[in-house]
Amino acid sequence: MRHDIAARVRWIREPRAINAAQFLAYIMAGCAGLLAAAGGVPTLLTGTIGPVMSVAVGSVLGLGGAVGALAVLTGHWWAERVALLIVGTGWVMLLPASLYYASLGKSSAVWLIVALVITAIADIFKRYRRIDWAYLDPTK
Amino acid sequence: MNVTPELITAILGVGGLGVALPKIIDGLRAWRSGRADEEKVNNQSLIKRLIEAEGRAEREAVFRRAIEEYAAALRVLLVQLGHPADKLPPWPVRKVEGAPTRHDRL
Repeated sequence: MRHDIAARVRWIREPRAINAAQFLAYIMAGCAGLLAAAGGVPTLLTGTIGPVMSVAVGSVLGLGGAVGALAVLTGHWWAERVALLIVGTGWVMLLPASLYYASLGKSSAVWLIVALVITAIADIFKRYRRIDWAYLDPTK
Repeated sequence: MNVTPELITAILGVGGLGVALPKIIDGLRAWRSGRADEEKVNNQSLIKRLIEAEGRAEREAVFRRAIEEYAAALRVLLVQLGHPADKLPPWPVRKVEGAPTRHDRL
């Protein structure tokens, strides 16, 4: 049984590439959240939506990333769906600030961030639809 | 009331977390009640049944090929023993996919 051997020698289970990529996506969302919560994006976030909402956006992203990273490794799809909703909320919460800042015309690079955030939201939706049928990943 | 980016962010945040909350409660309830484990057993049994069905089909195919070989050998043997080849019972013809069956006529 390939699964048993894989389980013994590797810490990420099948489908390994997908789970690893998803794990990375959650870690990155968590990092982005920490950055936002720590006030690391003063012009884009703190300047447009204020320090309180910046911390809120960052906390939501960080919390979702942490829950998602744990859930994808252990194969708890119900927890990962929750994490996807939280991370998705975090990304969506970034949109008003990004759109507002982009509309000010100070930096055209922010449109790139808007595009990336929408890409992230689409990816979250894709993953959600893919795992939206079971409580547990049956391969784990 | 002024619609600021801050306000929109807050509304989106509350909305998103509001959607997530029932999922958390539902998931935790399923987790505690053992519904999740039940479902896991069910999924794994589905996978097992699929593997078993594939194995059965494969074994049938192997056995059918053995019978075909045997039947062919018998035909050769009969002809060699002097039985006229055109008097041999016809080799069975596979039913064409989509062709009407007895069921369709009923």
